[in-house]
Amino acid sequence: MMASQYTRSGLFPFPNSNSPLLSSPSLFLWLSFCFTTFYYYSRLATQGQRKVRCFVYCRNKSTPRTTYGFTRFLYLPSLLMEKNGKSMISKAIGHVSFVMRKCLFSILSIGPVPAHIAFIMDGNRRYAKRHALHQDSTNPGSGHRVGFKCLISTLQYCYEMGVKYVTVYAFSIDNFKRDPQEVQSLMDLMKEKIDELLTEDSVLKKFDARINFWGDLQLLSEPVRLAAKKAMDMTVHNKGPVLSVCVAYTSTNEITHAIEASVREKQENAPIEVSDLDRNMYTAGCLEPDIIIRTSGETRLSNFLLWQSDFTHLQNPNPLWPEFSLRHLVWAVLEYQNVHGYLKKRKGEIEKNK
Amino acid sequence: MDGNGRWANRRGLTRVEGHKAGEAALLDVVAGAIQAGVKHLSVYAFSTENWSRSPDEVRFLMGFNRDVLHRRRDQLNEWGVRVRWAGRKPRLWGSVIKELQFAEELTRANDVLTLTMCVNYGGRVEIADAVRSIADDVAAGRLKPSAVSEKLIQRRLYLPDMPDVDLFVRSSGEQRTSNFLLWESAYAEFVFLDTLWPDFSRVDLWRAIELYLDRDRRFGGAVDTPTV
Repeated sequence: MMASQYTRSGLFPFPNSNSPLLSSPSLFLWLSFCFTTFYYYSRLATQGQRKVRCFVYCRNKSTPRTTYGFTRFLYLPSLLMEKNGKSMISKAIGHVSFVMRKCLFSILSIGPVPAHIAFIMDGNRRYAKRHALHQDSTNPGSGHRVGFKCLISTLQYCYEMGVKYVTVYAFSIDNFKRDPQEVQSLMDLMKEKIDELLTEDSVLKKFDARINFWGDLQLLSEPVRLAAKKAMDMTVHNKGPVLSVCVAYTSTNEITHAIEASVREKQENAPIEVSDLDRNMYTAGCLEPDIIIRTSGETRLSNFLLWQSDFTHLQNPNPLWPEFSLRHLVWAVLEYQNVHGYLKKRKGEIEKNK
Repeated sequence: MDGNGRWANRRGLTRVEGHKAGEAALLDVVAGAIQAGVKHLSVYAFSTENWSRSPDEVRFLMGFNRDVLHRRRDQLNEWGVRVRWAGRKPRLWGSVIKELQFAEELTRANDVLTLTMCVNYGGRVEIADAVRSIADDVAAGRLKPSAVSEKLIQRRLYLPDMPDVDLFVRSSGEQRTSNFLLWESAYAEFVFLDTLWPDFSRVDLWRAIELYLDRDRRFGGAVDTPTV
């Protein structure tokens, strides 16, 4: 995508910017400060499996010491959270991070916050290759494991920001064409992570979130299908935000399923309308996505939410999915806020005509 | 072909003038597509959602589509372009339908480039129309509901033999699909260019094609790049 005077002018703090946040100099400076601070925190927090050495604050003399000058204290949160996530220091840092995020999100909420964000989590395999993660025959899904950690942190940020619906494209029907070993490892990983999402300290429990699984679940292996059903049953009464996981899903399959259901339910000679198809989609009852973000710079939907993405703002940031962090999410929301006014106006005109 | 109205507003002209300026851009893009060796080109001339615009603008667009087809059909025929129409009849002016059908008939034998004019078209509406034809067959007992499949739906679209979209280009910087060729663009590569449609030229099309050529299309599979 190419920059231009028209679309990019709204992203700078000029009075005629479309975003109320970016048109106010003082708010923009405060946002920049928070953003810069989180830039470094988010880079460090997503170091993943890299080993971080830090200037030691504990008394264990066997811990290696390496100084990084004035930045050593920035590495400390990452190390302590990795090795000892329940320590008092890490909890304190967690609280401070939470408060700073709250400030950041409260500033963001001056503009419209998207109600529904969808993610195509692309780039796990390339991330694993780039970082030479162990890709032997016993663990072909190591990139996907790192990607899951990124999903959890992204969910947390979205829910804290006030996003009500998050949808992720976890596994396409087309992905069954991949190497059988990779498919099997993905199925195993999915079952493991679905069970993990139902534990007491998971992000779903924290936010009282509901989980949906959209797709042709009959194509999944039985353990995964049963785990998905159990997760949906356990969270069906939750009142918080919603996580929708598209698994064994393609949009054309979803439309086909909706058409078959509509044809079965309609009486003879009764015409089938667009609203009948809407009602039989997997996404019935859910708002249409405001943003679809595909990571790794790829610019296609790959058969994802085609029916629902009429007015959706499509974005394709360059980072691979495991590299997607808070700053990328904030930037995505800012871009959305820049076009929100125009999209709302166009949508209003069309709804009026209906 | 987005951006006619904004192009006109920036110049202090009416939206109608913007649409008129878009005609030259369309012909240049068709010529550029032929030079690049593209075999199928589809353009979104009038959406079912455009009926929500002002009655004057709608009236102008109907007449404009008819006049452009009338004015340019011989030139397109000389270039070897085959003109086809994708859209629905309800609400569409009879004179526009006549011009579209005439252009289709005149250029039927051409094979250099197939130009699909999407007039009174909507992605969801196309699928709903396909569903109605399927539902009629089910009601008449010619089809069972369990026989509904993706292949069957494909055969009931406006132009079943139109290949899937490889490259989806939208001008004016808008980053959304507007449900254009919804079914057909499941795996299309999107290129969003900031140029407004009246300023669009064959060079912009070629730039979009260059970006497309750099893409790695996997269709859901994932093949490891050889390390040798």
